[in-house]
Amino acid sequence: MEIKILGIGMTKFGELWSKSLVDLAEEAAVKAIKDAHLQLASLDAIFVGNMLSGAVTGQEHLGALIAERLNLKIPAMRIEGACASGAMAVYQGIQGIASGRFNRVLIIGVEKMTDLSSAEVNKALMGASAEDEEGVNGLTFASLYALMAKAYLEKYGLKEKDLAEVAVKNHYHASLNPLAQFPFKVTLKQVLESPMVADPLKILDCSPITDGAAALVLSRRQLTVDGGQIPVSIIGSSLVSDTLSLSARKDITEQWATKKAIQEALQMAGIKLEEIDLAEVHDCFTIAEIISLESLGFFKKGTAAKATAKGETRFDGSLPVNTSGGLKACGHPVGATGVKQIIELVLQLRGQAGKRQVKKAKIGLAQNLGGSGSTAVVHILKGENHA
Amino acid sequence: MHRQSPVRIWRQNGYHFLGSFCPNCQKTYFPKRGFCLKCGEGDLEDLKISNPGKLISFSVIRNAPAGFEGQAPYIVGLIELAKKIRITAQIVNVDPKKLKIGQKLVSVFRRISVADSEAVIHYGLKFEPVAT
Amino acid sequence: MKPLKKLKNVGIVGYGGYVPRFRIKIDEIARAWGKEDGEISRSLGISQKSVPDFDEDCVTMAVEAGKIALERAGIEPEEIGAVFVGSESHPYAVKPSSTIVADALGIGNDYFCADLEFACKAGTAGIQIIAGFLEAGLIDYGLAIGTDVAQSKKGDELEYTAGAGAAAFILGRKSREFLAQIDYFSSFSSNTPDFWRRSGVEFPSHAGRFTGEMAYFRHLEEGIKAFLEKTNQKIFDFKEIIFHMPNLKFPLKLGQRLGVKESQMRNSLIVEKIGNPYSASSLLGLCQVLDKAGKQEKILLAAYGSGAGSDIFSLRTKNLLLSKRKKGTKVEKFLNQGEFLDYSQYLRKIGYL
Repeated sequence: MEIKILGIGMTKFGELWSKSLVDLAEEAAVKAIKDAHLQLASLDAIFVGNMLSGAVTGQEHLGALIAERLNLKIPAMRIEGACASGAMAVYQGIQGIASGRFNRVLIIGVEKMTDLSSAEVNKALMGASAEDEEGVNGLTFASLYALMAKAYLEKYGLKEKDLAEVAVKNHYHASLNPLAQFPFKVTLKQVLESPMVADPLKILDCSPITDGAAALVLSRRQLTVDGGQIPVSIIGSSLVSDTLSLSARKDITEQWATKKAIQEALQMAGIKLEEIDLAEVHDCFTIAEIISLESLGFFKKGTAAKATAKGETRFDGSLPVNTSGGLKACGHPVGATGVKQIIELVLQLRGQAGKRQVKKAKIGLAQNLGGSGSTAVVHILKGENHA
Repeated sequence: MHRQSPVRIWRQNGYHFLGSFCPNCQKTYFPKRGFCLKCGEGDLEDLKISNPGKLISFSVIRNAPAGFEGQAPYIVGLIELAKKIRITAQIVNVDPKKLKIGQKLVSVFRRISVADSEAVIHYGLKFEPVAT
Repeated sequence: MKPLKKLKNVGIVGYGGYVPRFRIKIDEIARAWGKEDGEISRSLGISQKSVPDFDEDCVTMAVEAGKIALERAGIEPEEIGAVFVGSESHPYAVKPSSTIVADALGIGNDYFCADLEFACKAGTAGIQIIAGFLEAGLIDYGLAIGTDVAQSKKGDELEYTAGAGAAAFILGRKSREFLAQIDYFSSFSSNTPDFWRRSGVEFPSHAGRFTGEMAYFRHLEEGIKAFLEKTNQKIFDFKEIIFHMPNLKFPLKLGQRLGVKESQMRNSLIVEKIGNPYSASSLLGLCQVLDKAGKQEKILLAAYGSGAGSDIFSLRTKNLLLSKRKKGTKVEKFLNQGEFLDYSQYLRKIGYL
């Protein structure tokens, strides 16, 4: 399978008070089309990844909303998989092209979260969980991952500061990313002294509430644009479902859906794990990056935290992880994140990542999770040629 | 809005841990379901899953979601009941510093949430340490 | 004088009490209101009261007490044919607590049911109603519960004693299952406005010193005297005596007037540890007496409810009590636990902060 990414575009991530959901989607879409050196009219379909539109603004039917703003009368639909909505929209866009039905599609991941209070947003986010069991009892996403963190730390004899290293690294990367929500460094001390949210996770262990949109133009292999960007190919795409509720999960210190998804994606791409040069991984909470890296197979169980502390996952380390700043420091507009991860890989594979450029980046991996690990979507990208 | 629905509160109930039992192939399921995954039978019986349970993990929530403001800090946990069936629930009557993974807990009947002064009260089960 | 019928088919087959684990010292409440140290606690004779957690109410406590009663009775909940929950703090003005409690205890759908209110004697009223059903052979078992999160205006004298608790009784009609047999009961009722709460109003009002002689003392003294006469019994026939306990002074003073010895009342005085849990007051006293009593002992129970009336019962313990009571948690266990709060923490628990 070879799908080309012709263009990328995203808004800044942050508290974008004056922009509505459709404003954000429009901005990302137009940027992506320009980057692809195309016109909007050359698109065959729109796939929108979004989770909370209904809960936050009462607006559903986002395919039609965004098609109207872009003045396109083409097939347009919204895809929802909680925090994996963005990558899920990419996955569906790929199906649309691979089926032969569409030639060029627009993927937009978009989320508008800051219209509500944080208590309201936390409640709405529980729609990504087993609401009837977890949301109803007053759990929050932070507490679901905190349950994993506490079990993980006890199992491997680790401490809270081992998790905090992930936040320090991702903030360092974000300080090199002008579109990040928090483009500044934080120290280990600051992370450890930040207020407790759901123990053992503190504020700086948690990704923020963010507005933002990210878009891609995908096309069939033969239809790349002359004079356009260096196309990057998607060579692997997989989606795996695990149980929705944490209580039905076999082992809460690993991400089983991720384990299965990476195997399928590697097989589809025809490559080995060792060939992956960098990864964008789902760090909704620091513990999530640790567990995801282990479940992807990059590190043995119980060792990813120490590897992070040693600097192995910095942009200049042996396996750069989350050079965008991750969900923690770049921000986490829920439906946009999965698309943003792919955009970061594209920039790296094109050699356009500026101060955070990973040397000789040829193959990248993006892992996007829905809920507490109920959905895992993995994409593998390959760069064409770059020094 | 949806949490206030009296119909939803009634249907969810949650006063007992109710699973399903297939009399045909003897399989147990939790939560309740409509059809047996093993033999396809649709005539499943209700089965109460018993207490006490074992604590798998827990966390103290300090940032509460809407509807639970003012209750924080409160403890939530993952608890394993009979037949390795796990559920998430709140834990009460204990100092979190004294709570240990592996501890035995038993269910207690408490108010789960009340949307406002006119809404139906949502009652359900929380857990407390078994008296030693 | 209407003669009293001796019951043949009514006995307690299971019982259970529940008290929430938080406490506040009377002196701590007094301090918040600028009183002298010890002034209030000395005049009331008690030093602390129980406080519910913010997620507890009269329904949740009733369920916990009911669970213990079922453990002692050893019957299937579906065998219960009537449920009456008595309280003055039902969470709904319309929608019975009793059906919520029945659902939580797994009682099924085949039961008579209604909520009761008669101030602090709503629970004993439930016992009387169920006794009638049993005596008539209409049900095999019935559940009566007295439960309250006692309410009071902040800073009012009632605040010092308004506690929380629940006591549940499963009654049956097979004598071989009795832990204690109920021989007689009677009531003395009148229209007396000593303590009341209007609909829609949050806190009760009371008529001050009028609540003493003309209310508590009159209804209990007259009621008990008439009861003893009608049943041809004497006060010293009873090994254990339980009176409703709005504080420590009133029941002791009543006992004195009736010629009761302190030893007859000692086991019942739960008020010392938890204050006054209204509809659960005398019934928690009865639970503690049953926890400690020997076999073949006579018990006199006299509850008082404002508005006003008294319910009086005479019971006899049976041999089965001594073995079956081990199957449930004793009241003492609840009385002896206690996490003490300061006034601000207490206000937060009861929903003020």
